[in-house]
Amino acid sequence: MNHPLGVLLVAGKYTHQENHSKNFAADPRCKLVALTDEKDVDANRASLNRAWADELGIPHIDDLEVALQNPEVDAVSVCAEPERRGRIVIKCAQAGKHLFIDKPMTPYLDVAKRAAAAVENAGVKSQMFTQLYVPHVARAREILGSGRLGELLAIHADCVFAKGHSGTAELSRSCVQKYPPTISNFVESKAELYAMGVYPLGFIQTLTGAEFTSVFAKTRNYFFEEHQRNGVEDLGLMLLSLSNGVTASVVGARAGLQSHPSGGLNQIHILGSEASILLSAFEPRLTVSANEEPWHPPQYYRNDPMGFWQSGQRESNAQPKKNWLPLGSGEDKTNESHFIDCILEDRESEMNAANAAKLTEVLLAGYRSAASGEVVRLPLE
Amino acid sequence: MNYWQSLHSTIATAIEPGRIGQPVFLRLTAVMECPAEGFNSQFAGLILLSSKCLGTKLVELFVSGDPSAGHLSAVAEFESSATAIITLARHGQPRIDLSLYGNQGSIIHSESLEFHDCAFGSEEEIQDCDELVARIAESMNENAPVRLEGTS
Repeated sequence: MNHPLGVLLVAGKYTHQENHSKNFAADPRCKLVALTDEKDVDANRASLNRAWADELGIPHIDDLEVALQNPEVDAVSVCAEPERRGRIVIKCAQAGKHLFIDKPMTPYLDVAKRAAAAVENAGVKSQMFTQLYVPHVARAREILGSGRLGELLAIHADCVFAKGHSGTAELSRSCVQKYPPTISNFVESKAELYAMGVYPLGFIQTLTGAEFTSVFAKTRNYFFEEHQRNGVEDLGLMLLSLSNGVTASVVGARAGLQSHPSGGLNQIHILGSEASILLSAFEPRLTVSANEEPWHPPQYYRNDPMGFWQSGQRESNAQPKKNWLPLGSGEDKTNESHFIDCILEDRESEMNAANAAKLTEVLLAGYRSAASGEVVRLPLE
Repeated sequence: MNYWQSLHSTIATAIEPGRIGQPVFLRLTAVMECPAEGFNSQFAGLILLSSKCLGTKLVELFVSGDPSAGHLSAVAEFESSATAIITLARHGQPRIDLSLYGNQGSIIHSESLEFHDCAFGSEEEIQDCDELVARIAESMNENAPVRLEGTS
């Protein structure tokens, strides 16, 4: 390919497209062509899409079908809401476009399988957003590859974001999990086992190269009234078995702005037959104490109370915590640039649509387990 | 007071005044060269320690892992609806990693230890946890969660 890769954006403001579009724009190997969405999106989504196209200075096309006909479009970055995301992936793959997909790909197993098949049939490259390239996961990969832990016995991974104003839930009313789960991006809440648990599941899938064979899960707890009101969990945990005999566990949660000295628990504990190791997103780090204004949480911001989106954090004047400074690593390539590498080098991403579909299946198995109180075997029937 | 009693006591000083609100979730991982014989008993002691840290009784347990290989993990649910993932592993530098989330804050502790001390509970507590040891074995044998009543 001797021209810049043309990237079409699906969905804009108040989605992760805010991050992805800027990272694509920063990579000199590609250019943003336009921002689009399904023709029948509601007025609020259409307005947010136009706002983000204006922010980026690119055309807004109000019909995905029309936008896909543009021959300048080589790849599509899909950040539509969870309910719509999978069907858009299928449509774009059928149009022969490479796909960068927000996480998770879809909450529907049938859609996940059809999306993976559509990508394979079209022969296009795909990548779901992942944290596989963050430094502590990269270190985990190196350490496992070195063999110094001996045989891998177990791997336990957590992603718990320190965001949102917690302590508002009525704790006497536990989460009663339904199956199938409610997976939707409410303004003020998301199902966090789904939204956050997908990250550590992805670590485990990639680091072990094994299949998940069973899951036992809990989604009992609430930190936030918003999640309780919408019937979506803010904390989920899973204990899993893998095809290679490894035991794994995952925590995905949002636990409140003041639940962590920095951005939230983000760690992997690897247990081997010879040694064990804990790897954290915040290790190694410097701890800085200074004669400066202490960090304080932002005011409640009704457009984005959980700090889901960059623009919401900016509009609420949320400040980052600054006392912990993790040491930099050599790897600063974005997910988006890894995806472009895959297209230009004609190779599969480790988190392609097929692997993303498997993660949908594991997450759904987790919800089924949380609803039934039983161990659920994979693959799902 | 041994290390684990001291740990529990210090956690209690942060929880009892309500600094982190009501305990909601605990991730507790201990790497400790416990004797291979009696590994399940040591794991039961760690579960009891978790229960004490959360200040509530254990009501359900699902256990996975391989005690002969030197690792066990459990998903635990407590009377207060708090949940936990508790892990004990034999191989490696002894350490404790604990993340205890309340609904208004958290206690996070990671420490490399220079000793092996598997006395997670007092002698009396460990001696009294035969039922818990049996339930750990039952959960693993049946690959299913087991209900418990009154294990504090």
